[in-house]
Amino acid sequence: MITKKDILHIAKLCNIKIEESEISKFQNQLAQIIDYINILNEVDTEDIDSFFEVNDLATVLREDTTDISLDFDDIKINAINTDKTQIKVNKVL
Amino acid sequence: MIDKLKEQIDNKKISVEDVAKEYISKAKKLNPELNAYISITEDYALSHLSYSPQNKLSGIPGIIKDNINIKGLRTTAGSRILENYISPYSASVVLNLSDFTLVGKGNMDAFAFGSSTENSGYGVTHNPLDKTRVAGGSSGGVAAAIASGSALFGIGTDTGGSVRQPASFCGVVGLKPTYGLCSRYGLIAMGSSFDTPGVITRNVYDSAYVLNEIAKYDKKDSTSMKVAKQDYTKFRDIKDLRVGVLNFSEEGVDSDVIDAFSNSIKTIKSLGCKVKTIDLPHLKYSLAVYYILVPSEISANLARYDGIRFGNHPEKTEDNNFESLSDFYVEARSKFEDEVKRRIIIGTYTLSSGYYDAYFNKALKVRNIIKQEIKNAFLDVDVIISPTTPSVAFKIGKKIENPLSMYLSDIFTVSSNIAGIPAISIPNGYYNKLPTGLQIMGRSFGESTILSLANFIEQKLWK
Repeated sequence: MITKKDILHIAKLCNIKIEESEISKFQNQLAQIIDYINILNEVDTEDIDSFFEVNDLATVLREDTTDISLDFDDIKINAINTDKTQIKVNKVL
Repeated sequence: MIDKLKEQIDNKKISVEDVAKEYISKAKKLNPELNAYISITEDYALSHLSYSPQNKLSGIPGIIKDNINIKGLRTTAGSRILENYISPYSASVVLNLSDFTLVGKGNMDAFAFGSSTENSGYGVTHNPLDKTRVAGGSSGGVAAAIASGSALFGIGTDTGGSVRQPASFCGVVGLKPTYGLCSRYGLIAMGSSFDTPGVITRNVYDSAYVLNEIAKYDKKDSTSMKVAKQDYTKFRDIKDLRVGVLNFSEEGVDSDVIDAFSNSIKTIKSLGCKVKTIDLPHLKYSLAVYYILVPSEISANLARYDGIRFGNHPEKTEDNNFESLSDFYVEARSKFEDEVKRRIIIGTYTLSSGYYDAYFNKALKVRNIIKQEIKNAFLDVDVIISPTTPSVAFKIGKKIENPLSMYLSDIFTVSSNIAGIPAISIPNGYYNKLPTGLQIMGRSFGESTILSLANFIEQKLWK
């Protein structure tokens, strides 16, 4: 059972604000979804690998060489505050 | 249709500029009632007109879903959190459509989370065949634009049916290629191990025509596969093709959908294919696997929306001056739409300590079982058919308050994303003017086979 406390804890983990008035709605909807996905408990997965890759590719690596990347002038238009080739942010600590 | 217009352009019967103006004016006229476009890019289109006869889509009008980046244009992903985001680069799939004319960017559920476009931050898209109904989703805008004729082809994205389901609801053709055939570079990520760009067109030939352009290895996508170049418009002989009919529970499936499906089986038999019923007992777990793994990937992919480098930048107020960075993040992310919040929360839950093994790892294991089961089935048959969706397009508002019932509309489509295989949806019937869809799934990189069968069914049914 998902409690109100669970919802608030998860919301905090993912930096999502949930209004007090929305908690029970999210709680009910989540409970329904969790109830549905519990159907997987029926499946015997003993000895099944949990590693998955769609096309069975192994690790894909490129040559470790430099290449032209995005132009900072194209990127900076989306940031609040920039300085030369840097994006300025709030103080972290 | 596309090749006819291309021929007219090549023969100077019509100019690229006139084509652009015609389709853009149609899009502008229809958009107030359909809301298929988040942006109609008239200025961009008219200032970027170019024509080269060797480029197959030169001058052909297309719509691109708004979660696919085009340099210099706004890309919202259907979310208000990106309403001012200007793409600094173009997706590879867009660059592969050399010289096409961009009519505009297609409406969609925010971040492609949904099956109706009702989760769009820019209003719902209306189904052109019945405006009180949804156009499907998440690529609802693209499907509505193709069905109403304001563009000849559209590029959407398909993570669990987001190209095929709206195509089915709008009576057009939707193709989800094999994972790795078309580059994901420049698509706004949802579930990275499920996402693939896809094609929506009026007919199967056009679908193959566009696939020819976008099926290309891309070093910028590390899951891109090197596949021998082929011409998908050269349809194969399908006589003696082994067609597996998926044995599915009819519970919750509309009788109209079942009727249309039975008729399609008859059509397929009349084409000389060998039809047999196949059981895939683990397919009933696909949706549960999907709704664990995709939200898990979503919760990680959407962590980047922190409001600093791009996206919604919250303003400082007297009440909130963001003393901690975390306060800033929470405020920036408060613009996420409800369904986006819901999926991030589900994914955070299924990945959280204490639940990771029970949900995420368990789902990965079942994903492996389903993938293997489908692979084994293809030893016996060449394609697998099913309906595309359990119902025709539903009324706007009918499912929005009940996310689980909305999720169930993906029941037939998610399996191919789980296994990474290609699938196409084509119209196979109309009931009270509303279309139903037939889904054909194929082996990995077996696009040519599903397109060929789809083409011959289409010819038989509609020509």
